Amino acid sequence: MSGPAVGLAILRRRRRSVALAGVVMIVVFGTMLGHVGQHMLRSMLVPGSGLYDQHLLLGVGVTVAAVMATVAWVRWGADWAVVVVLATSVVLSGLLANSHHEGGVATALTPSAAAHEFPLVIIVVGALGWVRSVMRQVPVVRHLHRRSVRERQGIDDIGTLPPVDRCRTAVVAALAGGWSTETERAIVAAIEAPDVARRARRINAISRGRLGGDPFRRDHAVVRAALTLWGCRDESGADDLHGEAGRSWTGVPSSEPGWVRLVDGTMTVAALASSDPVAAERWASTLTTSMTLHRGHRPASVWTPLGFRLGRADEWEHVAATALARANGWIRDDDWAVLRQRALGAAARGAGHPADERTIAAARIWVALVGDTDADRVLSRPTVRRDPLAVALDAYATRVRDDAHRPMQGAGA
Amino acid sequence: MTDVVDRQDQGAEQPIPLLSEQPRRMGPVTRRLVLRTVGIVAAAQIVGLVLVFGVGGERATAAGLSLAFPGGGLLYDASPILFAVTAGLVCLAFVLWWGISAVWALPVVWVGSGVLAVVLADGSRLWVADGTSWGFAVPVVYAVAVASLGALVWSFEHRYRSKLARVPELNEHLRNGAVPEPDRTWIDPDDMDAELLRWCYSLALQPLDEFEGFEWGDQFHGGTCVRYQLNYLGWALAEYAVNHIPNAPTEIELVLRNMMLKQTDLRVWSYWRTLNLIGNFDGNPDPLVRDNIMFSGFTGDQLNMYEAATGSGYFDQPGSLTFVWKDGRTFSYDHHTWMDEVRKNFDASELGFFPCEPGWAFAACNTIGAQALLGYEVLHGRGLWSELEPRWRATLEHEYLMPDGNYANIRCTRTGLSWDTGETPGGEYLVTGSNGFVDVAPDLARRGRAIATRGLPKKMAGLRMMLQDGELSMELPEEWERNRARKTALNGWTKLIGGARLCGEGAVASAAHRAAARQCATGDRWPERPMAAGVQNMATHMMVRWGAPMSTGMLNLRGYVPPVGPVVGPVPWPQAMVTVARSVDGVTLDLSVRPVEGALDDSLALSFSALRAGATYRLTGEGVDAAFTADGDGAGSVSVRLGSAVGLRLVPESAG
Repeated sequence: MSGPAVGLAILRRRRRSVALAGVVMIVVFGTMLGHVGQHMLRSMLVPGSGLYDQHLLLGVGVTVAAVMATVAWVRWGADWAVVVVLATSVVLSGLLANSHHEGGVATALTPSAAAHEFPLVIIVVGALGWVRSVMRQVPVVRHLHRRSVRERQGIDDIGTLPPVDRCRTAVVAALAGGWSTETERAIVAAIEAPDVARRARRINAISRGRLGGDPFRRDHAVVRAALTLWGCRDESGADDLHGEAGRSWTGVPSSEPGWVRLVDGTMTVAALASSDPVAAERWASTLTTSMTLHRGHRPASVWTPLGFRLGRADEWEHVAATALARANGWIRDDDWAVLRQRALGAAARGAGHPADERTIAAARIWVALVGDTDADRVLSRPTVRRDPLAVALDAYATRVRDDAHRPMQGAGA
Repeated sequence: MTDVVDRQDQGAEQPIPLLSEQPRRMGPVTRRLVLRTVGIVAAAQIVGLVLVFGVGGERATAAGLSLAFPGGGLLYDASPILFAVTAGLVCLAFVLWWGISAVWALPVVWVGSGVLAVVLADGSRLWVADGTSWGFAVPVVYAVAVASLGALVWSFEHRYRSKLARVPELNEHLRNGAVPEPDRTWIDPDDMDAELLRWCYSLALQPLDEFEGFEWGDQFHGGTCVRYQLNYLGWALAEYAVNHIPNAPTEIELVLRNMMLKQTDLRVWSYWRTLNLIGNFDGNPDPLVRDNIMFSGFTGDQLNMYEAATGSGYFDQPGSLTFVWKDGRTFSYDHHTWMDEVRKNFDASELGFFPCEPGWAFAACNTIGAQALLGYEVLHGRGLWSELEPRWRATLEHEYLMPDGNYANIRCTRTGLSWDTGETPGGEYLVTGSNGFVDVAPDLARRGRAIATRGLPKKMAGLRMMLQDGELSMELPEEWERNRARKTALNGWTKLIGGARLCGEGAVASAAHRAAARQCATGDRWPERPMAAGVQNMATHMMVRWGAPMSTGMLNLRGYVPPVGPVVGPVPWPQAMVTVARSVDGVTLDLSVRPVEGALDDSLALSFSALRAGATYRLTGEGVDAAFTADGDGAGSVSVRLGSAVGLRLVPESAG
C-alpha cells in the first residue's frame, strides 16, 4: 500500500477505536453507574448539562468553557482544552450528582431534549459561521461589513495583512514571480515581521505548551513555506518542512496543531512540489479523499488525528486552492463546474471586497487552465489591484496564461 | 386619411402631414384600457351605492363610502385624522405608482382604508363618543368623489378642446408658413471641445469597472442614472467620431466600445430587478427580456451609433454583451440578439409601445427603441424595423398624438391614463427621441419642426443682431438641473445652440459655442467636470455641440461609411489625443493632435495609412514642415513636436 493509503487505514483504525471507547462509556455510564452515571453521560454528551439540575450556574459555566475550548481547538489547535473540559465536566457531574432530586433527568435509553452528542458543539460553531456568512448577504449588514474592510493598495501593502494572509500572499507571489526588487523587499519584510513569529509562539504555547526555541520548528505550514521560498529560513529549516510533510498522511504539515487547512495545505505543497513529489502525491490523494468535493464544496480544514472535515471553505479559499491544485495537476476540472457561477457572481459584484477580489483573481487561474472564454470575458472586467493576496493570485494567473500561450520548447526538434 | 401638403417647391424633402380637423379623443387601445378602468371604478361605485343606500347600517355605510372615495368610510367613522392620512397615502401611492411602478399601491391603500373603516365602524373614538358616526360624511364623500371625477373629465376635455381649437391655425402655418432649414456647418473644434473630448476619453479609458467622474445617485429615474450618462456620452462621441475625426478611428473606437461595455456593469443595470419585482412581480433580473425599453432601446441605439461611427463588428460576436447577476447567473447577448429582444417586446405589446418601468410606456423611449431597430436594419439588413414601422407609426399617431401635433409623454399600459409627470413641459412634445423623428418618421419630424419653430427665427434674428465681432457677450440665467443637484446655465446654452441650428443661424450657433464655454467652463479636468453642469447635461450639450454636419439621426440613416483619404494610426493615450482628422477632398488630411499628459516638447510619432503608394507627402503647420514618402502599402510616418501638432495639413506632393 502507498503512503496515503497507509495513512487512511490508520485513520480508520483510530476512528473505530474512538467510536468504540465512546460506546463503552455510554454503556457504562448509562447502565452500570445508576443515577450518577446518567449525569456523567449527560455531561459527556453536552458538557455541563449533567450539573444543570442542582448546580445550574456551575453547569452553565462548564458549557461556556466547553464552547470556548472548542473555539480554541478550532482556531489554534488546542485540542487538549476540549478533552480537559469534557473530562472535568464528566467527573464533576459524577461527584456532585445527588440521587434525591426529582424529575427531568434523561435516562440513557430515553431520548430527551438535552441528550445530544458533544460534537454538536462543533456544529454550533459551524452554525455561527453560517449565520455570519448569511448575515453578510443582508444588504445593510453587507454594506456595513464592506465599509469596515480595510482598503489596501496592491502587493506593496502586504505588511498590513494579518500574519497568515501575509504568508499566503508571499507564497503565491513567489510562485508567480516577476516582482520588482522593491516589492520583493516589502514581501520579505512582511513575513519576517515580529508579529508572525509572535503568533506562532502564542499558538505553540496555547495548543502544545511549547515554550521558547524556534517557533517554526513544527506546524505553521504556510508560514514556513513562505519563509523557505523567500530564503528567510536556512537549509535545516527547509529540511524540517520537508521532513514533517513526509511524516504527515496528508503530505503537508498542519497550519495550527492538528489542523490542515485547504488553502494553506495547497499553497504549502505547491511551494514544495518541485522538490517533494511525495508530498504532492499525498496532497493530491487528500484532495480526493478527506478534502474531496462534496455537494459543491470542499472542507475548510481536516483534523488530522481522526481525519474529519470541518466547515466549508470560504468561496475564495475554494477557488484559490483548487486553482493552484489544478495548475499542479492534482485535481481535474470538477471544481470549476461548481465554482464557475460563484466566480462570475464575484466578478459581477466587483472587486470592492477582498474576498470577491481574491475569488476573481483565483478564477482567472481557472479560466487560463480550462480555456473558458465566456467566463474569461466576464472575469477580465474587474480590476484586481487592492488586496495583496488577490494581486498575487492575479499575477499567478497571468503567468499560467503566459505559459499556456508559450510555444513548446524544442517543438519539432 | 391624413392630409398632406407638398412643400417640395420650398426645398422640403417630404410633404408635411397636416393635423386632423376631427381627431379622436383616444386611440382604440387607449380607449379600451380607459373603458376597462372606468368599468372597474364604476363597479366599485355601484357596489358602494348599494351598500350605503340599499344595505344601510354603520359597517355597510363605512364600506360603501370607502369604495366611493379612498378613506370616505373613515370620515363616516368620525376619524378625520385617518381620513387625512389616507389622502396622504393616496398621494404617496400615486408617486410610487409612477416612480417605481407600484401599480398595487393605490388599490392597497383604497382597500386597506376600507377594511379599517369597517373594523372601526362600531369601535372606540378619539374626542367623540364611542360608536359615533358622522352622517354628514355621506353627502360630503359623494360630493368629493363627484368633484374629483368631474375635475378629471373637465381637465381632459378642456385640454382636448383647447388643442382642437388651434388646429386650423396650425394647419394654415403648415401649409403656408416659412419653415427654416437647419444649419449644418462644420465648426472647427476649439479649446473647450478639446477639454470636453479629453474628459470623455478619461471617463471611458479608465478600467471598465471604475466609474470615476460619473454621477451616482438614484438609478430608477432622472439625472443620475448612469445608463443615461453612458447613452448620451456614446451618442455625442459617435458624432465627434464622424464629424471631426473620421480619419483617426483607433482611439475613438475603444472609447465608444468601453462606453458600451460599462453598460454591462451590475451597478448600472441592477435597478431593473427591483422594478421588475415591484411592478411585474417577476424576479428575473435579465434587463432585456421584458419591458425596460429605457435600457434596451437607448443602449441598443448607442450600440448602433458605435457601429455606424466605427464600422466595428465587436458587438456582433455572441456573448459580447453579457450581463451577470450577483449570484453568477448570466444573460448573454450580442448586437443581433439584443435587437431581437427589443423587437419581441414591441410585438408583445398590446398598445404597440412597450413599457420602460413596468406599466409605463413613454413615447420618447419607444421612439429611441424604434431608432435602435432602424439603425440595426441599416447596418445589418434585417428588416426588424421595416416590418414593425406601420404598427409603430399607428401607435404614435393614433394612441399618443394630441390634436395640436404634440405627443403624450407617458401612458399607463394598464389603465390607459396619461398625466403630466413634470419631465417635459405640459407632459408632451412635438418631436421626441434623441433624433427628433428625423430617421424614423421624417415627415413628422418636419411637422414638429415647423410648429416648434413658429416665431423662433425672429428671436434668433434678434440674437444675430447682438453679435459683436462674431461673439455673443450675454450670459444666460442658471436653472435647476432635473435631479435638483445644482443650477446650471449650460442647458440654456444647449437649447440656444440647438435653436440657432434649427433656424439655420450658423453664426449664432458658433458664437453660442464660445459663449457657453466662457460662462460654464470650470477649468477642471477629470474626474472633476470641465463645465458647470451634471454629466447628463454636459453630454446633451456635447450632442448639440458636435452634431454638425452629421447628427445622430443622419448617422442612423447612413450607417457606416469608411473614411476617404489618409488615415492616422494610433496616437498614444494619455500622452496625446487627436481632435481633428478629416479629409474633405479624399486626398489631403486636416489634422490636430493635442497634448494630454505629454509635454509640448515631446516628440510625437504619427503614422498614416491609406496613402498613395510611393507618393511623397508633406505635413505642414505652424512650426512644422516635414516630408515623407509612402511605402508600397500606402503607409508612412513622421515625427513632430507635440506642441506644434494643432492645425496640421497632410498633402501629397507627388504622385506615386
